Parts: sequence; C-alpha cells; structure tokens
Amino acid sequence: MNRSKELRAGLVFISPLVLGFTIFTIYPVAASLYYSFCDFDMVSPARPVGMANYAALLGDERFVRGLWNTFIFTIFAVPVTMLTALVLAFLLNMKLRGQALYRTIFFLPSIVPVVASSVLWIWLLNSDYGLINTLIRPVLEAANAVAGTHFKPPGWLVDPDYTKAALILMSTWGVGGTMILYLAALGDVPVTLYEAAEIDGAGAWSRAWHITLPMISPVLFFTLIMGLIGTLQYFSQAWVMTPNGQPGDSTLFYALYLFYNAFLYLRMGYASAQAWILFVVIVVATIAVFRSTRRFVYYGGEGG
Amino acid sequence: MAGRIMSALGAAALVAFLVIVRPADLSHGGSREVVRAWHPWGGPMLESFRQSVEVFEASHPRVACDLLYVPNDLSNSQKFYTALVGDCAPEIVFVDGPQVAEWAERGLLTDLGDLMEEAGRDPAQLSKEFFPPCWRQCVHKGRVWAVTWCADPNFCFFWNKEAFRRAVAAGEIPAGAAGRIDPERAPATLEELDLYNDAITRYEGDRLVRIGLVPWGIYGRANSLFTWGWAFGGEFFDARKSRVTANDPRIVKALEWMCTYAKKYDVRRISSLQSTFGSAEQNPFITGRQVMQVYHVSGLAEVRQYAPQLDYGMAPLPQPPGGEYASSWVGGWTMAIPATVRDPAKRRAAMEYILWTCASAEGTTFKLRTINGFPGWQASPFFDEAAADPHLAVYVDILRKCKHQRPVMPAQGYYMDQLDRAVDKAVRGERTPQEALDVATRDTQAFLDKVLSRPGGGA
Repeated sequence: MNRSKELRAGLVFISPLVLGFTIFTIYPVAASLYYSFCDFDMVSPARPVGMANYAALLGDERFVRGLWNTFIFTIFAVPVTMLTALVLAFLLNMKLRGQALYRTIFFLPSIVPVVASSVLWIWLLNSDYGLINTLIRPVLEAANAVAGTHFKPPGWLVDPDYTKAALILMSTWGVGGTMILYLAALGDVPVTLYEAAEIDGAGAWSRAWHITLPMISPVLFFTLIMGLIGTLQYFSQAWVMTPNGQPGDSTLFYALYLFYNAFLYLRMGYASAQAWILFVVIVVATIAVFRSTRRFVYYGGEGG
Repeated sequence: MAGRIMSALGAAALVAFLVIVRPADLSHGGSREVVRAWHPWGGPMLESFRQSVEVFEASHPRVACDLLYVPNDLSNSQKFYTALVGDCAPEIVFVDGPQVAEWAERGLLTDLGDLMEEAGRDPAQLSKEFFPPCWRQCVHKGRVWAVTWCADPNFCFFWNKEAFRRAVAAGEIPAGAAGRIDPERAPATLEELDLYNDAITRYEGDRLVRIGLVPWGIYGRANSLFTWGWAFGGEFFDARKSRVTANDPRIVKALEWMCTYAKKYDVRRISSLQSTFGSAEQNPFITGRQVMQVYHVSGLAEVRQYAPQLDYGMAPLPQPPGGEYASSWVGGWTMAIPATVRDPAKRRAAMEYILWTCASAEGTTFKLRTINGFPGWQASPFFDEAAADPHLAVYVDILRKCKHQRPVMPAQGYYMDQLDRAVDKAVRGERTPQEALDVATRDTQAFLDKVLSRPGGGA
C-alpha cells in the first residue's frame, strides 16, 4: 500500500472520532462562547449584546452565592473524600482473610446510581428520624448530662448551617472509585523499599510518610485534580436532595444555578456566560494546584 | 459493481421511506391523519388516556392519535424546546396552565382562534362555555393559545375529625382551647385555624411529632403563597400595566401570618417533620402526622384509596380577617398545538382531538371520570355525575365559585421560583416578609420586562 492510500485509509478510520468530536464537542463549545455574548432563549434567534451577560452576572446575588457555596464545598469536600479513600485503601491493603470481600463491600456504594443513593441519604440524614442522628442523639444526651451542655443533633438537610456538611458526609460514602485507584497505587510500591527502610530502623509511620506517600503521590495528585474539577461542577445530589438550593440558598451550587438559567428561565446566553466563567475558574484553580503541589509529586520514571 | 450500486440504492430508498412515512402513519393503515400528542403522565393515567384515544378514534374516522410520554412541566421542558428548534415537535402538547402565556410570547404555540372557527366552534361562544379562570389562562394578548383540559379547584380544606376527637378524649387539648375546639366543625376563620393548630400540635422531647397545618406546605411554597395571598385579598399581577405586584400589602400580610407558624413551631422542626412526609400510605394526613391539610382533588383520591375508613371533613379555606370567603384558584393542564405544525391537515386533526378531549360531552366525561379530575368546560355532563358524590361535590362547588388563576404573564415559571425563594427566606427569618417580596417583585419585573422587550415573539 503506498503512502497516499495509507493516509486515506487512516483518515477514514479516524473520521468517526474527528466528526464526532467536531460536531458534538468543538461546535457546542464554540457556540456556547458565541451565545455567552448574546441574548438567547434557545427557541428564537440569538441577539448579540456584547458583555451584558457577564456584567449582569457580577450583580447577580444568586450567582455570587452559587460561586461561594461551590468554593466552600470544594475546599472541604475534596480533601475529606481523598483522606477517607486513602484511609480505606490503607486498611484494605492489609493482608487479611476476606480482603477481596471487604474491598467489594467498600466499593459497592460507588456503583449505586446517584439518585437512588441521594434518596436513601435523605432518610439517613433526617434530623429527627434518621439513622445518623439516632446514633448521635444518645451520645450528645450523655455528654449534655455530664457537662450540663445543651447540644442537639444537627439538622442536616433542614438547617442551612449543616447542609453542605451533610452533602460532604454523603460524598465520603461514594469514594470507592478513588479507593480502588489508591489500592492499585499501594500495590505498586516496591517491597524492597520497605525492606531497606526496615533494616535502617524505620517504623510504620516513618515508612508510610517517607515511602508510601511519595510513591503514590502521582495518583494522589491525579485524584486531587479530578476531584477539584468534579466538585466545582457538583450538581446531581444537590438537585435531588435540596431542591432550589434550599434551605436558604445554602446548597445553590454554581452548576445548579447554571441549569436553572439555561433550562428553567431559558436564559441560555446568560447560562453560557456562567459556563465560561466556570471554565476559567476551573482552569485557574487547576493551574494553581499544579504549580503549588507539583514539587510534592514523585515520578519514578523519566520526564515526570 | 452493479450489484453494489443496487444494494446502495436499495438501502437509500429504505431510509428515505422510513423518514418520509413514519412508522406511526403505517400503524394506522395510512387512511387517517395521525397526530402525535406528548403528555407528561405515566402509569394508570397513561392507560386511561389510551382508552380515551380508542373511544375518540371510533367516532372520528379521519384522525388517529399517537400518545407519547414526554416529561414536561415548569421545570422540565427541555425535550419540547429541542424538538421545536429541530422542527420535529409533536402536533399536540400538554402545557401546564401557567406556561401558556410564556410559550405564546416566545412564539412556541399556534394561535387557535381560526382553527376553532374552522372546526365549527366560535371562540367567543367557547369562552363562555369554560369556567372564566380556565379560559383566561389560555388567552394572551387577546388571542387563544391553548384549551384547558383539566381544571384543578385549588383547594379544599380537610381536617381529621378522628385525630381531634382522640386528642380531646385524651385531654391533650390545652384547657383554654378545649371548649372552642369542635372535632365535627372546620375552623371557619384564620383565628380558629390558629387555635386548632395550637391545640393539636404535639412534641415528644424536642421532636415535633404532629402538626395541624403547614401554611407553606401546600404543593410547594409558591402555590402556598398564591393560596394565602388571594385568601387575604391580594393580587399578584396587574395585567393592564404589566406590573408584578408580589409585594401587595395583603400578600405581605399573608406571608407575615405564614411566618408566625415558622416562629411558633420552629421552622427547622417543621422541616424535619415534613421530610418524613410521603405519598400513598405515607401521606401525612393518613399517618396522622399532619391532621389538617389543604388538598387538590388528587389528595382526596389518595385518602379514599389508602384510608377509606378515615373520618375526615371537607370545607372551604378558613377566611383571613377582611379576606376572601372560601377563596380558591384554578390550576390545571391545557392542550396546545406547537408553532412548528404547519401542515393545515395536521392542524385541523390536532384541533379535532383537542376539542373532543377538552370540550365535548364524551371526551370530558370518559377521561376525567377515571381520574376524578374536572374539565374546564362547564357544560360537561361529568359535573352531574360528580355532584352526586358528596366529596367531589365540594370540589365542584369550589370550582364554580373560583375567581383566580395564576397570573397570565410570560414569566410565570421565573415568578413562581422567586415566590418560592421569598417564602423560604421569610419563614427562615433571613428576610422580613416585606423584604423577601420586594426582592421577588423587583427581580421578576426585570425578567418580565426583558421577555416583553424581545423582538419576534409569537404574541
């Protein structure tokens, strides 16, 4: 086969990807950038309005609230879920009988559909009748009796001060996917390193801190970046569990408000502007995390 | 080579055939004009719809109807919008009443006036045959865009006589209220309603385990505010000036009264109790967690189905001081033809099905009998049937006296969202009722002005 025939055959074979990517990714992305400068309601022609959508967003109380909620949620949710997954991975990496069974049990929640798990957690988090507060209540009552305090179980989904904590708590339940990545990374750490360290007199903590964490740091870094991007786009659980971002706009996350603008209020241009701001926020946050944490990441191979 | 060309041509012909002649047309033998209708109901509702289509097709030999379940409501109309933009919308779509004006303004619906005349139904005459609020919700800028299919008399007040009797017998009613609580009689005024509430609400430790009524728990916060706002004599919209009036002093008063419950019983405890509420057997009126309820007619059906032995009473809404007696408003679904339906034969066929379903003796009786719903068409013989049922008769009476419908304006979805937030902020004490409703008024007005200033609307 000569080169031009090879080229033609190659182009034919990659054409589904190229066409699909162009039509379903590049075009919508480019169109949303254009629409972000337009007044567009999806059903009638777009009217260019310059920077009006971006300017209006800056004065929009709910936009600011959504950004703030998402920011706070990300700062807490990403480390908490990573830490939970890491602790679980450490525990499940121990050589125990039934190790595979335990791993499966802890992985299972991550394959439960989001809506189903959200509905389940609505019940678990019920402040008066839920399982979580049923466990907490006697502890608090005992503490109150001893210390003379007046602590009450949290109003998880009904008190604006606790709603984000409730959603973070719930997200720790679905860390199975991250945990599996950590387990794979832990399995890849060479045993020889531990043996050498043991000969040098290193304890368990020292081995974990100086060998395990550096060796799995590329995976930690990867999950940090992916967690950051995913959490900044947090939507489904809030949509199901706390409609309209209530109580008190406490769970009005950025993506939720974007959805309202696009599909409920038919402000597609406004929502496109919001999407582009989120894109910039994610890019900036990712670059910042890359720059600030890169030096903690150890790559064994070349070009890391 | 020739074989390959023939195969390619054959495949192309098959694709063209399937595109031009839809499978739906084939299934009806090709002799009827097929109209597709998108509706938002599944389960038993869908089954009853299918049966009604069979009845329709038996008496209308030139039209066939294909039903398709497509979710569509105030917060979920994406499929309809994309179908419309893609020029493949159905010939008929069910539209939630408050959405009619908005969709008409944005040019999504067909003006039905001429089609009604063509079908031999004069719109002026037809307007008199419908309950006034049911007709009004379909008219925007002087033109008719939809026809009301079902009229929801919102609402009827229910109280659980049994629960009150038990509370009296158990000595749970506070001494001061004991003589003034009569389990056999509904509270007639707001003052009495407050008294009944105080008497029946119960705590176990710091948990609220039973409440009388949650004023903002009537099918969502926005619908609750509509209900009490009108009951207090307020108006939500000035159609003449296109002004949003959510901060009407009487609506502010209504919200202030709603907030008294949030303070008295603690909004967080109420929310906690509410989050245990469900439907069917978990309906709080049936479980006894909420002993007074303001119900849509579907609430009555649920109570009858799941608690046939429950002893309850039905009455008009308690009257606020200086407010409206037996206040109520009409909600419900309408049927419309999307603007992209251009084929005159399809339009005529769609109109034929809509008029049969919404404004004929057979259509309104058959379908609505199966779901205990009411037509918006006053002349329906179904009302005679309903009046014979003592419970449904209460709703028929409410419907006949009903004065209000949600504001007919092209920003209704946004408006309801703002009212919902205003109630949430006020009952949680984040804003005063006045502040919350001022914000809702300001934001909705800005949104409405923008919609109205868009060129190229259909209305």
